[in-house]
Amino acid sequence: MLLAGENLVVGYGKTRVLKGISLQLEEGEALAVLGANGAGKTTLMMTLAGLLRPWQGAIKLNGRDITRVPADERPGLGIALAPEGRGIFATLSIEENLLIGATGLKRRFGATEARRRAEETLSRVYEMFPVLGQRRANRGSALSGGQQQMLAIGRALLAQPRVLLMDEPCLGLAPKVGNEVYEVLRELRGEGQSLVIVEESSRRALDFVDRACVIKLGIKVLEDQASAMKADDRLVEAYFGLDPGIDPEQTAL
Amino acid sequence: MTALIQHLVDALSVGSTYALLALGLTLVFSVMNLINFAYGMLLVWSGYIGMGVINAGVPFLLTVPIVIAFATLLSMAIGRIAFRPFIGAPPITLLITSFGVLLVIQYIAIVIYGEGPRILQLPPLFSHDAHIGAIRIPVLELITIGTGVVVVTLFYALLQRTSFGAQLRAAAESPSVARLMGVKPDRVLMLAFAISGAIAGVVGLLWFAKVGALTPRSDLNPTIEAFIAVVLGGLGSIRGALLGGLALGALETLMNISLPNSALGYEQAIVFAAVIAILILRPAGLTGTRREVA
Repeated sequence: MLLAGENLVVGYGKTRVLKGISLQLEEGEALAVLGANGAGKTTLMMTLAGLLRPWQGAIKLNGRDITRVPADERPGLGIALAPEGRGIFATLSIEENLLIGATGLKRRFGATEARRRAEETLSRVYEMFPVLGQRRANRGSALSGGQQQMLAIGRALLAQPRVLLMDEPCLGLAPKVGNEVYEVLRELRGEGQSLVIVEESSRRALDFVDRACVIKLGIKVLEDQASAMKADDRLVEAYFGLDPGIDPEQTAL
Repeated sequence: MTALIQHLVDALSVGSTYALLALGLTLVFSVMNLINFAYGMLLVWSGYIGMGVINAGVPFLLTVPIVIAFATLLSMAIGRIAFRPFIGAPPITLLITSFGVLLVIQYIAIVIYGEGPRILQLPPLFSHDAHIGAIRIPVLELITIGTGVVVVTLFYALLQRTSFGAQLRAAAESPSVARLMGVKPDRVLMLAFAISGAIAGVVGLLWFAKVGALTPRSDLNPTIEAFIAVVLGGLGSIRGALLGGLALGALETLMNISLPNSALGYEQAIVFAAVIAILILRPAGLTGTRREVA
């Protein structure tokens, strides 16, 4: 087991958002976390990344309990989150945005090796996204939404993550641009990258991952192989608690 | 013509001092939302340490790095002890903490040095005038302007050309996303306090070289000027701090030469009125950004 969340209870103030969620990710696997707006998907990602501390439950990486490891040390363990809304630093150049993703490498590999790896990944990211290379000296704010998402993915890759966490990478993007994002993610999958992806819309995600779970109001209501889930009416029920026959895509978007 | 040039140099010199002051204040603000009202005491302490070192017979050129090192360490100690535990606390908590720090280090100074004024004895060169053609310019003003240029250049190099600088700018823009990238908030904070302290060391020497006398309560004026410069330029913006400092220097010089003698006593009040007028027109300050460090 590469990454495991065990019975996570998380909230803000007095409000419980996650009410005991468990999830597992194997090495090389891709898991989708689906659910409607407000289900707790982003809360789950922030908890895995360490920005929120669970009230109960544990997070384990390769069997080691990392529940109390602060967010700024998790990239050094190999967990990188491309956050919802992308979180591009508008005042940093594109290259600085990418390189700051490599901050945790120093801790993981030592200064010299970290620099070598950062440079290697940087040129790889520029190969994947030539536009980032062409505009590397421009500010992050100069990019379009889709380009910013590429930058967010590239920046997460600079951490050379063992687990890549993606929170709604297509949010606010034109469908065509969203497809390009998935194209890139598919390429990463092909290279064996383990990842957890949060999506509101299920169809594209299910084509892409090995396994998916659906959460609703902080509780996991369904988990299965993606192929089984696609062919299944349970997904619709899990999403909405409605009769099957209503297309969740239509309603959710 | 010569008078104009002299006034310009005056304005630049006063403005450089304010700009540096504002730089140190705004840097800490940008990463912690803290207006550090203890900042002026760093200057005062730099003055006292400079005085002590010079009186011990250390040459001036060695005194400068000693004072800068001291101010840097003092600033970091304050940051570590008084502010680091409050990362993420509401601004009002930080404000009260900063007043607490101010009082503590002020009373330590009173206990050690007494309330009476002391003189910071600088090399005679500092009180000379330079003659350039028909123009007479105080050497201290030239040193102040030169120092301003050097410090700002070094500052920008650190902020724009190093990975530390990028981390600091990232944390100022979005602390939580910076943490997701592995940027440690407490390290960024210490870096900000260190740079801010080093700048305070430099300005402390310049300030008391100009003012001459030094008391444990001499922090009020520089703190107020720095605060006004920062607000005038736009809170949290480096460019704004520099601009605000220079603008404030220009404004004060302008008042000095244009006000009739009978009104000179009210110079400060008139400057503040002008600043308030500017802020009514541009509430976010001259640069108008809030969260941007560079």
